[in-house]
Amino acid sequence: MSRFVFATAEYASGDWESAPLVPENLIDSVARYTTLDVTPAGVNVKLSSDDLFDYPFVWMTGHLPVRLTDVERRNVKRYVERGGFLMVDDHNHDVNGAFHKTAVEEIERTFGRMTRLPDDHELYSTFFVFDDGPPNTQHELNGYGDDMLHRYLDAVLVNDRIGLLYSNKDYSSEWNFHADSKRFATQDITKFGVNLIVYALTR
Amino acid sequence: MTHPRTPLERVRRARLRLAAAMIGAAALWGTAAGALLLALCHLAGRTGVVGGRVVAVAPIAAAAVALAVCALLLWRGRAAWSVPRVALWIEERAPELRYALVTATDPTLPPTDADSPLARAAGAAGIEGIVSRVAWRAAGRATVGCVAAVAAAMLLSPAVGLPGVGALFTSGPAAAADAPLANRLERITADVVPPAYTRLPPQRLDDPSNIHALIGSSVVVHGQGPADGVTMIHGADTVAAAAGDGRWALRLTMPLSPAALRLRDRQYERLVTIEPRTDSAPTLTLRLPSADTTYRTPPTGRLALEAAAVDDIGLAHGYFDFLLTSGEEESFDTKTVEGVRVTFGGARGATMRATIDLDTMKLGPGSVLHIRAVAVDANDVTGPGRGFSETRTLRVASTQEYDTVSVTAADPRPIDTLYMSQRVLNMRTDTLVDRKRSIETAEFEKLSRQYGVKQQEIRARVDRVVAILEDDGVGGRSRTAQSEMLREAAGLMWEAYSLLAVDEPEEALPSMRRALALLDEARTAQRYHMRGLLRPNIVNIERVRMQGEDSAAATTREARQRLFDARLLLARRLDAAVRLAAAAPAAAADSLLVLRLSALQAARGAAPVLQLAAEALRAGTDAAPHLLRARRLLAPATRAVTGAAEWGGGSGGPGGTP
Repeated sequence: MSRFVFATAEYASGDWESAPLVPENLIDSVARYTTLDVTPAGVNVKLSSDDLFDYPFVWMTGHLPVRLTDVERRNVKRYVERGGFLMVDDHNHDVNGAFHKTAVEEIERTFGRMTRLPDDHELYSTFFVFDDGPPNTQHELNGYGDDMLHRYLDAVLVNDRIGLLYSNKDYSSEWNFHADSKRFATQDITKFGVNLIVYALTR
Repeated sequence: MTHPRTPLERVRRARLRLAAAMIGAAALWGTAAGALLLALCHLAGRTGVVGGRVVAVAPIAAAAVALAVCALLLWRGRAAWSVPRVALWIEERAPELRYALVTATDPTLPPTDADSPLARAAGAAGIEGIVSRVAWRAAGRATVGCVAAVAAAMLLSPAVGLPGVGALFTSGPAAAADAPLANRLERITADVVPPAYTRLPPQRLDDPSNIHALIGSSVVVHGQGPADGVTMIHGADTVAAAAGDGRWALRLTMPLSPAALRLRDRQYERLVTIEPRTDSAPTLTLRLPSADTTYRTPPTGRLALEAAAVDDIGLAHGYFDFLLTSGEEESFDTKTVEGVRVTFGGARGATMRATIDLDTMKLGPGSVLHIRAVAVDANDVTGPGRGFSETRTLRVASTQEYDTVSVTAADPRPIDTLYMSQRVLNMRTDTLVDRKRSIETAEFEKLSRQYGVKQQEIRARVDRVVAILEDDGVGGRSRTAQSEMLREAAGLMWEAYSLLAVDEPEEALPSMRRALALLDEARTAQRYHMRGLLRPNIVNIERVRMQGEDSAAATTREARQRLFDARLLLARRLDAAVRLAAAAPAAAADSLLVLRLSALQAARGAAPVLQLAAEALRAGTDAAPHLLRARRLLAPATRAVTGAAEWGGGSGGPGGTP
C-alpha cells in the first residue's frame, strides 16, 4: 500500500519555508486520528519540477510576494487540472497584504477567478465536521494582521472538485508549533488540516 | 398631290418611302426587343431569381439586343433599296398592272415617256396609296410594340418603377398563388466591420457558412429580395430583417461565445454559425535583466531593463513593474512602483527600454526586488488585455545567510553536469592536440574518435534538456532563450563530432569551445534559489497512532461521476450526422455546423474539418474524406483506467527532497 507523503511547495520568489513545523504537525494529526499510512517526515518539492506530480497534496505558504515563473505556472496548472490538491495559505492573514495580492493575482492569471466555498461544502465534513465553515485561527481572533475574520475559503474547482484551495486565515501560523505541544492544549486546532488531507486523498 | 411624270420616277419615290418605313420599323422593333429584355431582368431581380450583378448589366445587354434586332431587320429589308424589286413588289399588290410597271422601269429598256401607252398602263394602279398603307401599317405595329415593351421596362425598374408594381411580386397569398417568390436565403453575403480600435479593414464574405470575426465586430448579413418575412433566430431572440435597396439585411454584433444563427424565409431555412475570435493579451519577453541575482551586499549603480512585447492586434502602452520587499519573516514592507509608461501607438511589436537607479531603491540586507514588464493592448471591447513577462528577482542576502552552515547542497542540475562534461572533454582534446607529435598515429586516431563518441553523448544529453525546457505542458513545444542557446551548442557539438570522427581534433576545438561558452551562458540564465532547505522533523508515528481524543463524524462520501472525454459525445453526434447525410444532406450539413461549434471547445482541431464536410454536403460534392478525417480527430485520446494511481510511494517520497 502507498504511504501518504506530506509535501511542501518550494517556489522561487518568496519564503516558502516560513512554516517549517506545519508538516510534522499535520503528519502527527493524521496519525492520531486516522489509520492512513503516512510517512513520518515531509518532503519539499519544487513547483517547477515534475516531481510535483508524485504528491496528491501539496502545501504552499509564505509571507513575501509570490511571482511564479513560467515553468512553475505551467506545472501548477497541469497539477491542479490532473487531480492534485494544492493548499495555498497566506502566512500574513492580510487582506491586501503582499502575499495575498500577488498570490491571488498569480492564481487568477493561471486559472481565472476562484469560487467562494459555502459553509456546507463537503470539505468541512470529510473527516471532522465544521458546521460554521472554515475554523477561525487564533491570530484572526486576537487581532493580528488586518484584525479581520476572513469568513470563507476560495478554491479553484476542477469538475466540481477542489484542485487549489486558497486561505488567508493564516493556518500556517496556527499550525506552526511543535506537535508535542498538543498535549497542553484543550482543543486540537489542527483537525481542519486532517480534513484537507482526507479530502485530497479521498475526494 | 402631284404625281411623278414617269413610272420610274414614281417607283423611285415609292422606294424611298418604303426604305424610310423599313428603317423606322427596324429601329422601333430593336428598341422593343431591348426594352423587353430589360423588363425581364428587372422582373427576375425583384423576384430574386437573379442577383444584383445581373440586373446591373441588364441595360448593356438590352442595348446590344436592340442593335442586333435592328440590324437583322435592316438586312431582311434590303430589297427596298432595289427599283426592280420595289416595282415587282407593287405589281404583287396590283395585279391589274399586268407587269406594265416592271416593263416601264426595266433598266435594260429605253426610258418610257410619261404620256406613252405603257406609262398610262403603269399608272393605272394607285402606287402611292399602296406604299402609304404598307408603310403606315409597319410603323404602327412597331410603334405599339415598342411602347409596350418600354412601358413594361419602366414599371419594373427599381429606380423608376412603381412600388405597388413591385409588391405584386413579393410574398403574399396572391403573389404566392400567381408567381411564388424564390428562396431569399439561397445566396447571402456577410459584411464584417471589426471594432474601431483594431483599425482593421472591413471584410465581405460571399455565401458563408461560418463567420469568424473579432468579438464586438459588426456583422450584417445581406440577401436579395424584399425584407418582409426574413428573420434570424439567435439564441432566444428573433430579429426581423431590415429592407434597403432591394435587399434584406440582418444585423448583429459578434458575441463572446460561438452560436448558430437560424435564418428563415417562409418555409426555407439556413444555418450560419458565428465564431468569435478573442483579442489575445500581449506576450512579453524580459531580456534584461537576463537572470535572477543574489547580492551579498546591497548593489548600487544603474540597471538596464529591456523587454520585447508582441500583440496580435496592436499594443497601447507598456511599463516596467517593480515590487520591492524589505525586511523578513512577518516584519517587512512592500512597495509597488510602476515605471514610466511607454506608448506604442498600436504597433504589433515593440521594445521597451529603461534604466533604474538602484541607489534610489534603498536596498538593504534581506531586500527582494521583483522586476517584470507589463504591456496593455488597445482592446476597448472586452479588455484591455494585459500581458506580463517573466519576473526577475534581485535579492540582497540577509546578514545571517552567510553566517550559517545550514545551507544544504542541492543535487547538481543537468545543465551544470553538461557544462562540466563538456569542459573535461575540451581539456582532453586540448591535451590530445598538444601530444599529437609525441604519440602513435593509431593511438591519436583512436582517442580522437573516442572523444567524438563522447561529444555525441553530451550532445544527446543537451537534446534531452532542450526537450524538457521546451515542453509547454500541453503537448506542444515552446522555445525559450535558454533552449535556443542549447540548440546552438548542440549544433556546434555536431560539428565537433564530425571533425573528431575524421581525426581532426584541432579543427574541432573552436566549435567545442564555443559550445562550452554557450552552456555556461545558458546555465546562468536559469533561475535558482539560494536559500537553505528545511530540515524535516521526524514524527513518531507508532507513538501517536490513534491517540487522538476526538473521533471522526464524516459524512458519507458520494461517488463522483466518471470523467469522460467530451470527444466521445462529439463522435456520436458525428455518426448521427453521417447517417442523415444520405437522405437529407442539407440537414446533415446543418448538424455538422452545430457540431463544429461544440468542437471548438472540446476538439478544436476537428472544427475546420467539420466545416469542410458541411460545405461539401451543401455543394453536393464528396464529403467522405472530410468526414473520415473528422472521425479520426474525434477519436478519444484518453482511456478509462480502473483503480486510482498510487501516490507518494516509498519512504521519503520518490522525488522530493527530504
